[in-house]
Amino acid sequence: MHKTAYIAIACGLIFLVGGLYYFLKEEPLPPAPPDSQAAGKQSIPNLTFSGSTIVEEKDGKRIWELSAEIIEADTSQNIATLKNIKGVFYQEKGGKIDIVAKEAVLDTKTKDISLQGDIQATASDGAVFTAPQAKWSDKNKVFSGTGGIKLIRGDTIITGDTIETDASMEKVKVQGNARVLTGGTPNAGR
Amino acid sequence: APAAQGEAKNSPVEMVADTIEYDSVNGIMTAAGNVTITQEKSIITGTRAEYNVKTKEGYITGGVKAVKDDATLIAAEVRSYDSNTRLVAAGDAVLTKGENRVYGPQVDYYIDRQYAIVPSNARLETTDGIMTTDKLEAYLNEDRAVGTGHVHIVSEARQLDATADEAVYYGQPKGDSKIVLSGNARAIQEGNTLTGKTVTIRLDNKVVDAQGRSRLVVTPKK
Repeated sequence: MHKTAYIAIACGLIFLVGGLYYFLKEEPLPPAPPDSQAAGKQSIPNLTFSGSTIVEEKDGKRIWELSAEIIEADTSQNIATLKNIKGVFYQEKGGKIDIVAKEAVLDTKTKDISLQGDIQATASDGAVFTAPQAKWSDKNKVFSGTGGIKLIRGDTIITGDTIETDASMEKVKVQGNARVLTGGTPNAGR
Repeated sequence: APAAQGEAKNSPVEMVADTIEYDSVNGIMTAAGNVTITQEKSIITGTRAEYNVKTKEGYITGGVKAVKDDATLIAAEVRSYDSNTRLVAAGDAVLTKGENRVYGPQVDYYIDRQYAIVPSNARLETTDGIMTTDKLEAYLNEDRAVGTGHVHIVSEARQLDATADEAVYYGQPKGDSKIVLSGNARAIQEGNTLTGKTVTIRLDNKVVDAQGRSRLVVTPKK
């Protein structure tokens, strides 16, 4: 094989090894840019609406609707903050839950809703649920309440620290100082 | 009085626990951790419980204690029926009322009627002595108890040992309590043996009389 061929092969090898070394050697990552968000600067909502309603539908069926005096949408954070809200959650079996609260934060990606401040949810069969804080998990279709809850359904009064209930408030799980008073006169123990 | 008992049955039921799940469709409450069920003056405690508000039946487990007025029932588990007015206690059940105590693997206690029945392996402890029998019925307000099957009565206070097919213990009137043994009745007191069809033992004044063919064997004191 000619001398020039050997030289060409040697150059190729050197080029190959050099390239591999360049790519494989550990390179320190460029320093993370200073997190401007964490510097205490409040994320400024991009859009503000007043007297509006947000609706969630699925396959043409309304899941819930939230109307509020003020809606502040922060598209960068995918959240919307609603003030003085009225909401309706529609149940699969046809019933619905009307809910009022001082404030709600909607995660527009997960569709979870965190509510707080004088929350009262009233189901169409008359069950009433109150709590200082509550959350609607869109994925599990579960309402949860914390901070000392109360659920009144007919002649049954349920209280406790936290509660989890299905969308129709028919099945509930109360944890922490759970108490159920049932039967007897309707106002017993109110 | 019946009216008061009716009211008790309809009075509210309160359940308190660490965790309670409530299925309002089926009316079932499931409680776990430090469970207390209260209705009127009856209180039942345990570690787990299930209560059906529609059938008004409950099932409580885990070191169960049921208290109402001066009666206390303890057992491994208790099933309650008729708005907690009928309790079926199972698992080393002990029903205590005043100075009397009823033991059995199962004790059915009818609170309204103040009546309890121990279907098997029964034991009754009173100030007068101890009765063991196959089956025991206790009429708590009357301080009366009926033992049926392999009755054996031991009273150290009265140096009495008696057996019979059936025995009725009368704790009242105080100072005139008695036991009526029937069927292969046999009573040994201070060494004297009396057998007969029916033997009545007056516990307070040590009088024993027998009806039907009977036989008395007196052992002279040394």
